[in-house]
Amino acid sequence: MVASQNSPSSSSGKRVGLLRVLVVEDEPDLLRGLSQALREDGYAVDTAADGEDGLYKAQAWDYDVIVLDLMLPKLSGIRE
Amino acid sequence: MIVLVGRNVHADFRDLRNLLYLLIGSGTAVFALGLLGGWSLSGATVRPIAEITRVASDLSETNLSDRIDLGETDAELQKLARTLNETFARLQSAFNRQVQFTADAFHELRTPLSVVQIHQELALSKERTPEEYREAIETCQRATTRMNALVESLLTLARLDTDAAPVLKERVDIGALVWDCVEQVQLLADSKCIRIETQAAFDVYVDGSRNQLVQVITNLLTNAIAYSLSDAEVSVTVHQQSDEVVVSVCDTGDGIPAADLPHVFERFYRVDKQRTQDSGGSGLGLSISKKIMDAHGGRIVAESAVGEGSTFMLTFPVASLA
Repeated sequence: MVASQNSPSSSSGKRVGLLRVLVVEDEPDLLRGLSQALREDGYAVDTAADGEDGLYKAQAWDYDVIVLDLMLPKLSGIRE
Repeated sequence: MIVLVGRNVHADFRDLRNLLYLLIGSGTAVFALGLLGGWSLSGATVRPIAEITRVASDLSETNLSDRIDLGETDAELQKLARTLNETFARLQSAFNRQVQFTADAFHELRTPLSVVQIHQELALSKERTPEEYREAIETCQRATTRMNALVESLLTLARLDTDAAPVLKERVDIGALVWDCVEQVQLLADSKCIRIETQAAFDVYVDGSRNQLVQVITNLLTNAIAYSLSDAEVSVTVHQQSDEVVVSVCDTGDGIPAADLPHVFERFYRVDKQRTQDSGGSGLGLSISKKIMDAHGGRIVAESAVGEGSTFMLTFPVASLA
């Protein structure tokens, strides 16, 4: 998994609620578990089930963190 | 009367001494030449062998890419070096396949394990409703069922690889066996409203292990159902062609792209990762089927056209008349 952070926000509890996270994972049960855990920790979570959808969402929205699986259908998590 | 004749032999002795020196000199020279010739000759023979020994002893699991390079040498030794190099190359590719297989197996096991871990942690992180607990347990159950199926497949493959379980040869009525297999997958087919069209005559016999053949045929049927759309038809036929029996399972699903077709029997090869997960397969079914067919002296062949569907054909030698 690869995480990238492009917003210099503070990590205090109050700011956490504003952090937007995109989770890209093709295993439905894992995607559901990960996003629920992040939501319960106060993050705003978006999900994508394959590489193409993940790339589209990552370009369309400004996420603070992207949690990306590497082995994905349609478009792999690694770009060569 | 005594006549005493005397002659000076000094010159003879000198000649003899010169001859002795000459003999010693030429003897030494011949010996030295022989030594030199022998050394260079044996060196030329031994050097390639020394090179072969060096490469063979340097081969290890971390270095399998070294090859014997003899340059210009005897044709027989060149042939030996070529044979050994080919063996090393086969060894290297078998080893690489094994490393990849182990990595894939761990990856496949880690995913359901992560699912179990994250849903357990979530369920225990705070007080939940009974519905939420039930959902968590059901998710964990799906993941453990998947892990179980995967471990079962890995064990089957390992047993087939080591030949620890030799094929139990019995006369099997393959027609009757196909009907049994169709019955086994009927519920699964019904759940997707898929009709299974079966044309299999009884009394067509092959030599083999009943359990293993059931495994191959149900695997093909399960795949055909998984990769078909709802309301489609899957057809199964058994027919005899001279001294061979052909079982074919045909679906009208999406088909397999030509580039993927040669690889479908490789372990963990996925034509489309998403679809394989939807179908709940372990990614090992076709590899196991191929192994079993090899052990039965048979073949498994896949034909497919994208958008039209796929056909898997099993070919067995007809059972010898017992």
